[in-house]
Amino acid sequence: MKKKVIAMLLAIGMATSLSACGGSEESDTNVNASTDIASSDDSTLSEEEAAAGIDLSENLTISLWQITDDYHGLYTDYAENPVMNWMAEKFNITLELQQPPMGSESEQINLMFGTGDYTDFVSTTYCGGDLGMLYEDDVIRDLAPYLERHMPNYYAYLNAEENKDVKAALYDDEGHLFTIAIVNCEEPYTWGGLMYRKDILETMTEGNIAFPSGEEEPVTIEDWEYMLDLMKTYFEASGMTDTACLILPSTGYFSSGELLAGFGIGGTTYIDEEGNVQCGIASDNMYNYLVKMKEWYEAGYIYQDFASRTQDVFYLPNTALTYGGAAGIWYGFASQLGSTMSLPEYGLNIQMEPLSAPLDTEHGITGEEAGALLYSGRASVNSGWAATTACGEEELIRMMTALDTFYTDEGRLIKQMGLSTAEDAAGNPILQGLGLTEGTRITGTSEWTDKLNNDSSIDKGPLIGLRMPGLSENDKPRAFELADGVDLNEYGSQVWSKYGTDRVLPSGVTDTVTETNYNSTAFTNITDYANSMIPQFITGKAELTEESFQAYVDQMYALGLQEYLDNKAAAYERYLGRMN
Amino acid sequence: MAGKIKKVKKASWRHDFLMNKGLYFLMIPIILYFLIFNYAPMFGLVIAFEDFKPTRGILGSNWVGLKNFIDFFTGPNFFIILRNTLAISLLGLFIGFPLGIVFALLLSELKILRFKKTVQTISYLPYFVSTVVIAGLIIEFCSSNGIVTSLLVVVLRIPRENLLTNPDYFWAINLISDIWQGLGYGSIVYVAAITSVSGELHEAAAIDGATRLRRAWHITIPGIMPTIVTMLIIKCGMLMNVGFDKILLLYNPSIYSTADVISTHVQRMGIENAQYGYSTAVGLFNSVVGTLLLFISNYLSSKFADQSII
Amino acid sequence: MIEKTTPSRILFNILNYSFMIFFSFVCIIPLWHVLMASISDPRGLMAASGVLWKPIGEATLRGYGMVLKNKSIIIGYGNTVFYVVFAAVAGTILTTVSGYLISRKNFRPAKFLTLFIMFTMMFSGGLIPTYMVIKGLGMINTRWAVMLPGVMNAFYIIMMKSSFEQLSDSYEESARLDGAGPVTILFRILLPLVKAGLAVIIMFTIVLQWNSWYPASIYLPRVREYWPLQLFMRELLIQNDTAKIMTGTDAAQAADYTANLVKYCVTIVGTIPILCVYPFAQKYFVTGVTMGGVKG
Repeated sequence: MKKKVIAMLLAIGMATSLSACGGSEESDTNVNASTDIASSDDSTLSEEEAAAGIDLSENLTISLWQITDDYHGLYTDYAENPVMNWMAEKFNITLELQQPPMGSESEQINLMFGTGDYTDFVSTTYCGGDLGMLYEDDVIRDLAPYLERHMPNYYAYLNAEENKDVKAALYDDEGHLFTIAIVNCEEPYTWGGLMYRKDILETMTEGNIAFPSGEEEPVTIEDWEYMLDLMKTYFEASGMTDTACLILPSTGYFSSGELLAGFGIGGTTYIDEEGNVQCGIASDNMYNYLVKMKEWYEAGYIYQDFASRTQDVFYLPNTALTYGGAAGIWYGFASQLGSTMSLPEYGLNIQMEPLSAPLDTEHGITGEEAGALLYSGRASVNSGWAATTACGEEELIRMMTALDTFYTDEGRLIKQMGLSTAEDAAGNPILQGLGLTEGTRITGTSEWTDKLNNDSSIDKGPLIGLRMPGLSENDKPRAFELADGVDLNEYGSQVWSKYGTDRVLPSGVTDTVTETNYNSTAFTNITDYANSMIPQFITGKAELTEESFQAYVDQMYALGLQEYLDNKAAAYERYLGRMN
Repeated sequence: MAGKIKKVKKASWRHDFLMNKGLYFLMIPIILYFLIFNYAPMFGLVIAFEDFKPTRGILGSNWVGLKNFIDFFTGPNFFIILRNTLAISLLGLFIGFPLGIVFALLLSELKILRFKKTVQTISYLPYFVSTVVIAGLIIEFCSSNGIVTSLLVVVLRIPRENLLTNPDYFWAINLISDIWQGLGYGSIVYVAAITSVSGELHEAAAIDGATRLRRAWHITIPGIMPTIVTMLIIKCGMLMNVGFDKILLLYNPSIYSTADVISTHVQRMGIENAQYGYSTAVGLFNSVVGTLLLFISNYLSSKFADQSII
Repeated sequence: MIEKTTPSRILFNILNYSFMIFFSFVCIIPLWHVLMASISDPRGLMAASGVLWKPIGEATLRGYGMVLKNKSIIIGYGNTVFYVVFAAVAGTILTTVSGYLISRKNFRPAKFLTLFIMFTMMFSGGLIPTYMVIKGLGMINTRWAVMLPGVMNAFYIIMMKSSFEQLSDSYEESARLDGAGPVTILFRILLPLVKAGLAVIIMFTIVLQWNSWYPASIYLPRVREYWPLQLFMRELLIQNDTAKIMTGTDAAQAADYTANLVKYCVTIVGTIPILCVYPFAQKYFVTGVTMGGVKG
């Protein structure tokens, strides 16, 4: 499942990056960047070197381990991607891609490491969290000494005041940097969250929705109960046998904290307002959550069979219910917002609205304590390329120079939106074949060209540098992706991050090797136990009293929860230290 | 006199070689093959005793002795997963195994050839449908309003609930779905063996007035006994290897107490790190226990049924 | 065979046939469900639950179109056929010979060999050591990596052994008296008698090879032209995962939902051919092999 998690995060993180990439330098991607190829050990720029250009006359072959998708037959070798192609041509590189079969990525990379036959560069997605260990084992190189000289744009970006979190995420405690990362200029869009069927409410109240809190959208628990009650009545009247007002995952809670947030809990592991690391499912407020869920289950608001749903890694909503119009509230994706799920010819008019966590005002939870949401952070060591020890000096410098292009504004546009006429889009066979000789965007702007804007049959994914390192913003929607002029991704994200995302444990918080060994085992044991108890509490199979709840919490500590939290707290401390 | 073990006087090596020259020569490539492709990789079993990291390789990783094993044995759920693994395997052995034979016997009693052929082909179709689809169907059937649930509510008066959230039902659900998927395909071996049983003996017995049941018991079954014993002994050896694909798809946290088996447990533990050392250790443990069971069942069957593999 | 038709026999027949009909019905459900799903309207399919008795909405072949327009499918089929034939021929011969070897009671190394072979069934080195051996032999990214390592299967060898043991000793004894060596005995005399066992092995081998994708995914990462069908199918499945459909960044594509059909079409495309094999092998299972010429 881990591979799926990472691949998902990667794809989503890249595909939905946020706008407003502030204040980047206007530095030109000047091919004659001032590096002298001979003296690569010396990282300070001398004036003579600044004047000299990098020598591009020799064609270098650089190998790269990188996953790829089969882009609808456009190409299977990622080296043919137009942006990769452009970069390779410009910097006189021949790219050799090693691409693992889909689904076997982890095995392939472990085999590659195990047999010592490394490619020059490797995508860090499947390297596991601990790049430091790979460095110690002499598999990857430390890029920090080369940065200032060979990747000035990247270096400048990392050291800018407003990008401290990115720097802390990418450097380790000893000042090493291993990843040339994909960096989001601003907080990435949240790709999914709770959503509800507004059309049901409209139907049941004939257009006069009146939430108890007086707001336009559901805010408190009472609002939710008002909503759930309407939905329940609606479904009962509809005559459908299998319905669900609210769909919970099989564990009974959303580990990223969606519902929990309303009870002041940030998720399974999160940071509270005092900066301490907490475990949400063992916290006092969890009792309130369980009591309320149990109430809702008994009232018939929660999907009867929720406990048997398996494989719910991303809370995949039961498609039979959601697409069949038999569900009211579920955890869905931004692409489901609006009326995309409607089937007017069958009389199914679905209108999805995003939903933020219900505030447990009865217990005094206001917006401030509400917890965090799934948030991938602006950058991660696991999202980018690293150089292995098999990479020669020349190849390293050449590639770094080439990739530095994408840390400028212009470079970012190319990476994120593809080639324009200025980059000789007409010369690229793939773009030509699709009739995009003018390119995918209008030169000098971040606007899609007409054809790409309006032709929904063209998938833009293969045409842009999705998997390449560089800066990224949240995706610009194409014309047909707007609903009444509204970018649903952006809208959804706003609602879903209503209560802030600063409770999340930042992605830059990394464990040491000893910590990882302990944490992963302990965490599995603890969550296994919790995940088996929570559904039982909710469905009533296990008695829910203050005593039984305390026994449940005690058991979690007996399984090693305290040491796990202490480890995480130490890791967080280290992260904060790197932020300065 | 198929199946009877005759005591053979052990010939001397030289004599044996002369008698079986051809066999000795044939033996060589076969031994070589297994040495290269099976025994050579076994050196990798040392991973079970190491804190293995792929980047350090087998020789470079730290030696930790029995730590991986101890971690496994002292995990909070060790006895539960062991019990579940054995329970599921033994159920399959005591129920699923004989059913395969019985099914083969019933098939052989079908005299309308066309019908028999058709049934045979259809019976092993579920084996070819992917586990994902089968699991999906089972989850459907066992949901609160599913077909099977409703049936059981009516017939057995059990309370209506999702069958897959009640730990008590899981073993039965798993067993029945295993039978559903594997009965037809697994019976092929016996069907083939049955056809080799002498038709003459059946004729003679029929003339003497033996009923079908007696003929099956006294002729057919002894006739296919070597096959049965072979399959049984091998199954005993495989007791620890409960296939985890289907369980992984069917189970959920509510029923870990009866559904979690060794292989699913290792799968979950191995997610965070590529815990090769741990999973290799568990695999080694499974192999050792399996081999023990193999020898035990082999010994027992040679004592009581006069049949053995070794 | 003379059948006395007593009431108990009739009753038995009725029960037996009824049971068989019921069982066949139960067994056909999954495949029928998959078949119906594969031609259903994909959007309707997402809203459906339960067993499908007929396609949802308008029957469509779009899913098949998506699967089959892949040129890789043809390559995959070709490779799989090649690997299957090789395994069926080479594997069966080797397995049969091995099974024969260890079934001979007058062959001194037989017992040792049995243990030797069985041990490989119980113990395995795991992914990395096996990979290193294959790599050491220089077989990575060649067809041999997929063809050789699995060609002899310990389990099948044991099965052949028991097939041979089921035969009466008299065959070998009388052949020996006639002066035949063990190899001759195998090929001339005993082989025709274990036809049923052979058919089983061949069929199991074919099915195993047909469904195999894991070795190829490990040993053939760079040579897609050698990939078997199932590996392509698996890629297709992963690419068209339900999650991908729902998170489709391209709204237009997500609305198409054809990808939802893919997992069903893949099953059909990858499975139907193998289902056709059995009827051919069946004749060995149905006709009895009468033994003549041996007096107890």
